[in-house]
Amino acid sequence: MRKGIKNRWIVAGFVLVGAITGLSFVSMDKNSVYFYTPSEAKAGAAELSSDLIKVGGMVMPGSVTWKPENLSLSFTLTDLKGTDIRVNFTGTPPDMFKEGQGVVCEGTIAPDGTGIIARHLLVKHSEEYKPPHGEGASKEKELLEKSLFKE
Amino acid sequence: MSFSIWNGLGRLLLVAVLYLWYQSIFVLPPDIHQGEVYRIIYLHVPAAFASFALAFGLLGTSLYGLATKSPGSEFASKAVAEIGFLFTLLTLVTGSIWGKPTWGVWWTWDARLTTTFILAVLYAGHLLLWSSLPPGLGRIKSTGILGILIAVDVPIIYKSVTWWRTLHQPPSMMREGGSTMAPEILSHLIVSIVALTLVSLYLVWRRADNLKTEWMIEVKTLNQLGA
Repeated sequence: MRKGIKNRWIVAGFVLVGAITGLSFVSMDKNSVYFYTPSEAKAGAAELSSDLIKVGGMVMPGSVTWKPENLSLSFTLTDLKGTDIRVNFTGTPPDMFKEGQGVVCEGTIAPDGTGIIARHLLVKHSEEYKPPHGEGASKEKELLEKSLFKE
Repeated sequence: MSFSIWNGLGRLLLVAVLYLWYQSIFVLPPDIHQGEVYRIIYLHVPAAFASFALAFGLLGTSLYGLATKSPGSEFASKAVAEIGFLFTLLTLVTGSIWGKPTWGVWWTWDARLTTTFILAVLYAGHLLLWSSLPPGLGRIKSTGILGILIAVDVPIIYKSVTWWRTLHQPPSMMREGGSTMAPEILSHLIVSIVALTLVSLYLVWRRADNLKTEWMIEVKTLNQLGA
């Protein structure tokens, strides 16, 4: 084996081992969840309030106020088990944003856990696909609940 | 002779895929939640499935190469990795185009997207490694080991939406309690998956053939120069 080839081999090996190690650490770090549930966010609010965090939940039906004139959106993010957080967002929400929808808010939480100022609003939809006038009731709510609030 | 059979098969697959796309866009019903935009699922999911299938194909050619040291396995692996990379890119691009109107973002680093991104990087790494090494046992071994690693990523991608909280929705097809898709949507998606996977395999075979021809011309030229 020529020397240049051998060196390239060693570099490739290092890059590979480095990548694998790095990725395993990321995946094993229990704190690095993609988003917190409302109850996790509320419980850890005092600590989390200094960070940019993501909190996922459902948009509580009847809680949305939308003022198009100044693009101000406000709604209650709920885990449907009694933990609610008020979210304030300035901007245009995604088309699929609606009451009862799954949503992931990225922003900062108040130290007392009562409110979130969201910078980004991401819609989380379910894995259900059916025609508008198809048979059977929609299972969207329970599917979203299962996917959003897994441990 | 074999050339015309290949061409005929290619044309057949092209017509089949165009017909399925026509159905995806004009015939299938819209979705109750997402409206018309969900139709990209008929390209996104088949592309993802093909890139997974090719990763397992790469596992096969890698193990075969490591076991037999056959030079042919090198070309097979290279062809599979090229087309696998292409279909992984197609998965990422169609997913991104789908994400913007539904989620509101082109990209986010959740577990599903990140592990799929890693698949693209690993495929690209395989192509780089293959091109940077001379033909022979060393290359069969190094690309073979990387080929096995690439296949390891696939079940992680597949289970990512079940293991971790993600923005990406969980599986609609192979899941506990049956599919969450209406029958007409599910059956069209399955046919589209089969068709695009066949297209990917067709491309692999054509590409492997090209690589072999290229290599044979090189060997012949070298022999003539040496003589």
